[in-house]
Amino acid sequence: MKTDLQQALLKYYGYEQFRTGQLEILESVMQNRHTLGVLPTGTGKSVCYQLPAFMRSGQVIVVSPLLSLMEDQVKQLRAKGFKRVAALNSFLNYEDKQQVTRNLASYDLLYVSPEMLQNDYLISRLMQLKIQLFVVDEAHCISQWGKEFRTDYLRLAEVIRTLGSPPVLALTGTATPEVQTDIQHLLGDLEMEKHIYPMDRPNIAYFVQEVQDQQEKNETMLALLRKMQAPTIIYFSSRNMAESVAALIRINMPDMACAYYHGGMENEDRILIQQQFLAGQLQIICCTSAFGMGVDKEDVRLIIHYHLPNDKESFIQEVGRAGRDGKESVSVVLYSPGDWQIPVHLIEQDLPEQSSIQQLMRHLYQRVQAGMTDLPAYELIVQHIPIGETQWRFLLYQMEKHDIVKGNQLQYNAQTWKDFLEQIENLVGERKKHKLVQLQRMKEWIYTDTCRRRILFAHFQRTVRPASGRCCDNCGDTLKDWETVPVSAQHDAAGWREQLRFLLQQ
Amino acid sequence: MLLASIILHAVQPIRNERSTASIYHLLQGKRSAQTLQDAHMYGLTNLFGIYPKLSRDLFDKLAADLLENKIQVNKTPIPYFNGMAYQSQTDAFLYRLLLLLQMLSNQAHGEKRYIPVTDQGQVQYWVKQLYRQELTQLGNWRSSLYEELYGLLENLPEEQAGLFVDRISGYQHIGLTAAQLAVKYDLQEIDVPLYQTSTIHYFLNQVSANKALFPYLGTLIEQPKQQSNTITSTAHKTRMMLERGLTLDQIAAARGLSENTIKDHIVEMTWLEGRRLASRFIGEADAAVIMDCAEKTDTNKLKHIHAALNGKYNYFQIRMALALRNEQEVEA
Repeated sequence: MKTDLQQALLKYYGYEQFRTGQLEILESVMQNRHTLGVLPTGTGKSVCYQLPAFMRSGQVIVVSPLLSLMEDQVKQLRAKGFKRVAALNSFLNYEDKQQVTRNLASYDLLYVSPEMLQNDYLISRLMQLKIQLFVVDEAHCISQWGKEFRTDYLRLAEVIRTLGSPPVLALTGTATPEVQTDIQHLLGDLEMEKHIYPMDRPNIAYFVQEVQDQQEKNETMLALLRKMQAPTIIYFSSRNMAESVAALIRINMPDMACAYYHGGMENEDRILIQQQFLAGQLQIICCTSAFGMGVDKEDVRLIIHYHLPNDKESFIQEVGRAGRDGKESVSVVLYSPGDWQIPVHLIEQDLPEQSSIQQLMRHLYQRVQAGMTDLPAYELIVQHIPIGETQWRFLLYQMEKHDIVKGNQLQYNAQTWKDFLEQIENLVGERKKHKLVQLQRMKEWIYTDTCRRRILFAHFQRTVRPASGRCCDNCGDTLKDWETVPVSAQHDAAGWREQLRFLLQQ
Repeated sequence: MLLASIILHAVQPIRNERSTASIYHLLQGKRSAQTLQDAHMYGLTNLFGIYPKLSRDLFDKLAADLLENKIQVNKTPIPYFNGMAYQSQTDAFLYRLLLLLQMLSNQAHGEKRYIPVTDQGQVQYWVKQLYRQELTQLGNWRSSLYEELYGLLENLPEEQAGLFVDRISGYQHIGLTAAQLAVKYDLQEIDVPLYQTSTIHYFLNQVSANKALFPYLGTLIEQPKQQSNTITSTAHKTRMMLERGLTLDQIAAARGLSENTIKDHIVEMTWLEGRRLASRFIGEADAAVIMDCAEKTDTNKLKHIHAALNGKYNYFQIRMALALRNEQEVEA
């Protein structure tokens, strides 16, 4: 089987070699075993379900919460000439949705957003297919101890059963042992073959630099960019900051092409920026966490954290976008003592207050009494109750877990509602504590004086491989002797005449 | 600032007679009787529908700042627009052109893997058809489109030509976003789509006027549907009923609309299609009196005309007369 798989890899992707873990997961999948794969970002998780779709008959269904990533993958596959692929999600208009749903059998690979699986008609259509593999991408979303949770992931176990329990492949980039157990349990206590791969990357060196204020942060960042002269991603916690620092870099370093990227931009523009970065027209991207998923650029050399994420999982994932070509790459965190207020504030904002929970439950109760058992949309709720969208998502997740909400219907039972109200304060407290612990671990990592590599991965794996080059500042490494390898200058036409000639090869 | 200059330009003829919101509807291309009439009445047909994606909030803020003199604007010359003629074809032509150029550029290098610049199914289908039919001629397409575009762009201001070319995606080169173009050409981001639209209107104008000179670009123009494409469809229904001889109140009752709405439709079709049905509602002599009065008092404001003629004519009659005046101007 190994040679079949290798031949297919060459045929469909043009690669000779599998990356870490791909082959092992594929072998398990091809033998129709339920499989849990934890593969660090950048190792090409999608190969694990795309190859079976190319090679075997029957459909591969991929559930993914990342709509834009889904769109990207479909586009990339189509661009490669693989046309029997479609995505069903809320981006599609009604007619396109109908068109895809009616012709499900004509696709080999079908990406579906979890909320689409709430649709009974779609389920009944899916039941008529011969599903060879049911993929749960970003499987950590099912667990409340994962980076983010999704209510609609809770229902996947039921969907899998309804579809006749096809082989399941659960994939994620990050999962602590705790989350792994949760995934297995919440997907219906499946017996799964586990393939867990270490998240540490020997070719990435870690540096942390304390600065006093924003001005010093900017100066340090600019000096670093000048020194490295390499493809760079800079992460921010706010869209505005990403935009304004991008402008600052453009002014100070006109010969390093720089742009910003965040979730507030039009989809069309986001794709353009992503592609410019891939094509080497851009050297530096200033972005929020929205950037990076599915961006398979091999030669990113430097990841700067202008702001820190709230947990190590996100940090590891973001840093993991550097050095996919295996060459030495660098992570630099710039922080000033005041930076810790932002994440604490964000965590508090994400969780609902007891008084709004009571208001909400009273409102829902009144709806049920009036015979309206449909779960109201967030936009409706927010007109009556001051509650953020993340807070609403948290409550929804808890209500589904407590059988108060089932399939977008409210289910009233005096006892369960009473229990829920009594427990919810605890649940909020637990969640907050969990988040603060995550933040605390991030903080400890910043202030540690032992090897950063060891501390960073401590909660995820038992051993850490030694660095292949520089390790970290605490191990005495510096960037002083970093040898700049200037990237080849991109074609930049002198004016529109030359540009037009170049485009049309005249 | 181009958008600001356009707003100031549009405010002048409208003076105090209509709200600034009417300028928003005009630029955005709202297909209502009122907006179409405004465009004709105030000589602003060239600006109709030149900014379909204009955000209402941004417009309101900018318009308020301008009219209260909160911001000083360097007046920017307004480039060529012909919205009334091309507004419905602009998007199709632009995206066909962008996708075709991307396809040709990649095809020249044998590159088949690229992400199309537009998701619009119809545009993709159109380019695909062309690719199949012209497979052996793609080299000609490249050189001829190059010639045709080069000639057109030469006649535009350098910046505007640059703005257009920098947006094109092709082989190993990805076009710039509006925000990036704004930085490169030192413009406001909000103005970028306006320059793009102006360029396309200019292309459409030149290409349709000299079909023989632009055989390749000519095939990109979507043939407008034969039926009148300016009258709204609801007004169209009213017209068919009028032609069958129904009266105003019968039409209103049959369609479940108010009489005033039906009157709006009649005014609208008079603006756009002339006097065919107008004589049923206003005699020629009466119309002449009202037109004369509007001329002398130099206003289009119904209230003023109504008062100047001592209330002899109702508002509907005055609007009909003004609509007829517009038609005379067009004929002349």
